[in-house]
Amino acid sequence: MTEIPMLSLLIWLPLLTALAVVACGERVQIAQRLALGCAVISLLLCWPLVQQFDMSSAVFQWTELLSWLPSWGAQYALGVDGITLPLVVLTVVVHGIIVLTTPHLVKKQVAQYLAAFLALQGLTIGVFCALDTLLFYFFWEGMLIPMYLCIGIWGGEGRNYASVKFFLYTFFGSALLLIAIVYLGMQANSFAWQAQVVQALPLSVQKWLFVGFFLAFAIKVPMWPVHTWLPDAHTEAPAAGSVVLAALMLKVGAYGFFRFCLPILPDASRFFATPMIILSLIAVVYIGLVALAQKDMKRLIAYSSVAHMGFVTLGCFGIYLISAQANVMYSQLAMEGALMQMVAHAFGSGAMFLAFGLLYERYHTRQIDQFGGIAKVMPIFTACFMVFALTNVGLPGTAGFVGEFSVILSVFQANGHLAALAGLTLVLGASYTLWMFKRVFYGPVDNKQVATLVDVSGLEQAALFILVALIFMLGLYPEVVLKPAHPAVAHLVQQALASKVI
Amino acid sequence: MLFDLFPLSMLPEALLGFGVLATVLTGAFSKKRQVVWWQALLVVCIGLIALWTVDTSWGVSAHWIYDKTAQLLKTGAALSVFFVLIYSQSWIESDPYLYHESTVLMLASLLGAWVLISAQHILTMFVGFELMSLPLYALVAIRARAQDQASGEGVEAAIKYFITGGLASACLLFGLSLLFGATGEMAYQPMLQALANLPASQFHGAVVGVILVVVSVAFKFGLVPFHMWVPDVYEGAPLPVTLLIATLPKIALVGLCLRLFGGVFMPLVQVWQPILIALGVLSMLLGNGVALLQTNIRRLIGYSSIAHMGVLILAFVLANQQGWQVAVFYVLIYMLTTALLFGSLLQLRVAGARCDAIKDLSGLSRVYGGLAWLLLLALFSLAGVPPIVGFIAKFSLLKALVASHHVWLAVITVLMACVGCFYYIKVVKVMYFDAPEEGVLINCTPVASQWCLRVHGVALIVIGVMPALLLSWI
Repeated sequence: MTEIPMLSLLIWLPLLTALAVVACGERVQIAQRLALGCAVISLLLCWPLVQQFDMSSAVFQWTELLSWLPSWGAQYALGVDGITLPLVVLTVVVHGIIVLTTPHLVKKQVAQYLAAFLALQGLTIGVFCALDTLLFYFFWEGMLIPMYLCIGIWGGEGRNYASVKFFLYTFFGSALLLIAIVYLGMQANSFAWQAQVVQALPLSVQKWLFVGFFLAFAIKVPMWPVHTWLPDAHTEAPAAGSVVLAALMLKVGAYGFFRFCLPILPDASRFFATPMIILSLIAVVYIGLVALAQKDMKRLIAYSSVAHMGFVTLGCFGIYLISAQANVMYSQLAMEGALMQMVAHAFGSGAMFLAFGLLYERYHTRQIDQFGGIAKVMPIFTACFMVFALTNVGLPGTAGFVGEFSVILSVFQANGHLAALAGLTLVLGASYTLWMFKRVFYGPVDNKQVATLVDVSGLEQAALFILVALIFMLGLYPEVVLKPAHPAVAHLVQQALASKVI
Repeated sequence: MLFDLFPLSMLPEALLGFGVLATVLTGAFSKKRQVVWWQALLVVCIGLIALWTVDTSWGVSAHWIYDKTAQLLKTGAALSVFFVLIYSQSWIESDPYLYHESTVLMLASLLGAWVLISAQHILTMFVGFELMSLPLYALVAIRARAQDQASGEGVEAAIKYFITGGLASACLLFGLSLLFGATGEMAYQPMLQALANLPASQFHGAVVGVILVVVSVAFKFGLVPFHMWVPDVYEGAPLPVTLLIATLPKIALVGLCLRLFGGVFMPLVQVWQPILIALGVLSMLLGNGVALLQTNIRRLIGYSSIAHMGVLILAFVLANQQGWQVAVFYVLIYMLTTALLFGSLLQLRVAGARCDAIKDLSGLSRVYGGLAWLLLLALFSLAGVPPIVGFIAKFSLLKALVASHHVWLAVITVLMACVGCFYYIKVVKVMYFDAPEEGVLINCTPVASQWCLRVHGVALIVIGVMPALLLSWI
């Protein structure tokens, strides 16, 4: 069974389906059926992918190796390990939900819309699975074009500015990433990830390479202060675009830190750990305060995304601080918390964006003060949104709690003050989320238009219920995500804490 | 004796020369315009076949060389003329008077390019240089009195091109004569020996000669500060001629630079290396910077070509095998991309739309989706976004720069590419995000163009994903 190139299938099937869907043109029904078929097949492919994954091993599995550019030392190398496996499944699930809700959210140029998202699915899985830095870069940059078109064609009024800002910001980050990749490839004589991991590098070289990698990944994550593209891109993107941005694009940035900065540049990561932790805490606290001040609902959710991603980078780079003071077990816990936060945040912010998209279809405004009393007219929607809000807050029992708690617990072993700052998210998250929830959903129905809103039904309900179920499952039994990750995380922590200086 | 002077490897040029003359005769006596077009295409195809039949070992002479690089570059040059002919079929056939002059001039320019690429003697090189350039001057003005274009523009562009080009030729001749005076040799190989053993008294003469040759090459490439003609000519010339000017001379000049900077001038590398770096960096800065302000799409592509040529010239700075391979690769990819870009614009023109201002392309994705998609591919290829082939070209150059420890040049190149990205996505934005203007487009694209465009677009992605297809030839 492992001879089947499962990962290539998962990457190329959506890409080829995207071509077929574009060829459909105006025949929306056929396009939607094709997209749905692809989503179902991808989900079915995930079953053997997970079943046959050896949960006790840290090596890459489902590997594929094809010669691609031998004269340059680049190969078509794919593989998943325990860290990547949950992310791949997450991608498939999120895109499946997007396909389900498309008929309700998009009315014009539906075939092209579906094609863009199918392409994004294939490319995102490619980013997660690539084991060759040049291949990784191909998929990483390739994601820009469909996302740019997505924001610009189906977005809100400010979409021109938002899409251009998104593209240029991300492209600028990737520019220095490219130089770093070229330099690394030259040093290691190969672009294969394995070769670059074992390549010893002097500290000065590692620092420069880290700067190159850092810029690209920090912009994608996004970290403060290069996060300013995110509020615009998220607010102006169409609903599914925001979901993909929040649920997957941001994780791609964090994944870059996991897969490239920590193992390949461990000494530089250690050197820059303190600034990275400071930036993460600024994201958590400061951006939390900024979110509190927002009047635009989507912008608020966008800023809360940045704050939550602060936990991911905190867990990722906190291991250097923790390992100095405590057992390596807590470093592993921090990293697992970061991974869990990556998955959970998709269901927190991503689900909120999706739900908001359904609301926006009915009542075209994003201003919080124009809502009020939604709970009275859309009770089922409110109940689902409540669950999403609670996981955003980090209520125990929901997915959002696990990651945050793991990271705070681990950081506490190193430094109580930092943990206290990180713990402020529990207060700030609760404040902006619940205050927004109260203003939007509770209270009297003052606005005439709100009174006419219709509750969710059919496929919309199904999508929301799936998300709710997943949130509770992950919150109550996070081992689902973490079981394959334990050995891989332990191995990664070991690599990250080791020294590679010549 | 004859074969000493004219080796068998000149067979493709001979066939092309006969083809030019035959086209003149056909055009003079035939009444049907399609015949001339088909004949021109046939001549190019025959030339290509001859090119690949001639073995690279069929003899070199004192003034002629035919190696694998020459074969590849000549194929590229022939392909560029091929694209021009295919995409401008309607344009050529729509002119009732000058249909065959256009094709004859294009073929003559190709012949000049071929001679330039294979030359090993400064006089042969100059003949090729002039034979390539003079028809282009005429082509820029050739439609200047037709109704579909403001007469003033075409003539103004032609005069600008002619005068600056004439200046370039004069500089070239002066530089070559100084080099002859310094070395006493005219053929490349003896000149290389002489430059390597240059007595001190001749040094300054040779240096000035080299600098003048560099200046003339920079003129022809359109590098800063010799770039003044580029935006005006790109805007004023008819679209097919702009396509020809954007592709053919660049390929031929790369061939020339390979012989000069990769051969004859190597002993004086400290003289021209910093000059080329300065030319490249300034071109990238100015080309990308001013392109941001453009509202006319042809001027935009003109400035973008200044920037791209700035990047290309950096490949010669490296002065090693990797750099030369990168230069050949880059210019061929650039030719492919530009041909697709202008080819798509030409089809738009044929369909009845204007394509001068960027705003003219508003909402193209909704009116003519296939063309918009091809334009998107070409633009993102110029920007250097994977998986389209332009990224591979940029990447191979960056690899070569970093490998030779010119890391700062690589950083400047990618940063300028970022700046460049802005105006490319501006055009994509206008095509995809804006609403279309009033007016109906009639799709009367010739079938040959349609199929060629489709294959062209697919090739751009396929080579982008599997560059080994092209790299293995270099």
